[in-house]
Amino acid sequence: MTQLLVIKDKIRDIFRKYDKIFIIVLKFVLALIVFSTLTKEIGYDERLAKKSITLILSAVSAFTPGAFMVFLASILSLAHIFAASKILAALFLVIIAILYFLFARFSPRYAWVIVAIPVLHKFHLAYMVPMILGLIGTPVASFAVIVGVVVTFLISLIKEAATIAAGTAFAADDILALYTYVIKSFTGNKKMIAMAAVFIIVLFITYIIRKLRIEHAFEIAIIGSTLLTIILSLVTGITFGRFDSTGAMILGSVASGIIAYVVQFFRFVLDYSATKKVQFEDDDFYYYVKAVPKLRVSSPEVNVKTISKADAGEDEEETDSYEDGLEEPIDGADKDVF
Amino acid sequence: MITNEKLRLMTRMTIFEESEEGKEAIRIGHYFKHDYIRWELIKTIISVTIAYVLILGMVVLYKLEYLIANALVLDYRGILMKVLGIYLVLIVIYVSGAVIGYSYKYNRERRNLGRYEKSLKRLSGIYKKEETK
Repeated sequence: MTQLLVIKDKIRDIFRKYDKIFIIVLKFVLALIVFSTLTKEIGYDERLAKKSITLILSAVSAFTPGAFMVFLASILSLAHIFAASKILAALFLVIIAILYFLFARFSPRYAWVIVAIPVLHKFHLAYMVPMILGLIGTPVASFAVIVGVVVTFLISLIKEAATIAAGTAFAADDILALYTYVIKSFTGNKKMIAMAAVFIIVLFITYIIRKLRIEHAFEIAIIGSTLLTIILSLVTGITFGRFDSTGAMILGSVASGIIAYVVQFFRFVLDYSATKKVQFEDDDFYYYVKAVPKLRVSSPEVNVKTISKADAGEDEEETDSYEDGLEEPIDGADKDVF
Repeated sequence: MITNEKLRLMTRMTIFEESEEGKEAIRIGHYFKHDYIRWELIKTIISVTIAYVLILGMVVLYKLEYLIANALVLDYRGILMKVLGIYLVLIVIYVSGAVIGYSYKYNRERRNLGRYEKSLKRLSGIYKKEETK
């Protein structure tokens, strides 16, 4: 266990050194996955489906806030759907607007969830989103989860409708028929409601467990949420129809659990490892300060000296509680002031 | 005069001010609680109303054939009551949720700001001491 923490520490050192580059590269790769998947699914506009466009959009997303990527993804989706059918594009826009006004605006911090769920669903890994949100987020993220799930089904529906729309003339009857088909498929979709319900329940249960003041709360939360995802998905699958094949769902849930564990293991790296460079002034001086976070596990040279099992257990407990202490962003040396 | 304590306070306060958490806490700290909640409530009501109008439009379009066919015999009063009724229920749910949610958020951000403000006071005290010396 201590070895793992020492490895984590070493990785954190590397990350700390190159953190800005790491983050840009990570954002670029994630954006590339999102835009590539989007283009693959609904890339109806040939000009916009070019790899160069995907690369440019990913590059822009690498240097801008996460919410901007969601915005770009929405615009790109709309543009592609517009190329397939103007009616569908209008419908897509209205539904997105409704989702925004009723749900998305209440969890702006979780805008990334709205693209993560549809994209990950293609790889049967969407289950990790409520798990991760339960571990590092708050229940407010449920709003973003609902939007993410709806967008997932909306895109599938648009794909189906686009093939119908291809043969549609712009007669009022045809437009109305297409519109009615989409709305009927959308509102009658029990699988979508079931998936949203499963995700929200998993999010809440994971959140509740990890907030418990027990040892290994995170690990228990991950195992619990993986099992819960499988059970709930099986139950809703039998009742409302599966939104994923059973094998893929089980594998996906387990893989999601593993990924969630890795994410939680490294989450402090992203929040606290970055060296902060700040500038400020007072009446007399300008200050240029480099603040290097001091989050260190004891080095191996110290731990090797531990002989008895009891001592090793104590060290581990201290490490655990030290990690718990990291939930407070400012170190607890002086709890009242910074 | 540069002292470790001054430097520590100023650095941590700047880190807080530049963090996402800090920016949000400072932004919300400018409002009184009831002003903040009232403003968020207004935005919520407007958003829900826009969404409801859009949904209503979609429903009308969906049932257009039926509406046109029965335009003369429709119970307009009944439909209006139903439409308004659903709207009111929706507003009540969202307003209750918003009041609870934004109240909680305001309290949480104020707590975050509390430590920052204490640091500010302490720093101010240090400067005053230096001036009187």
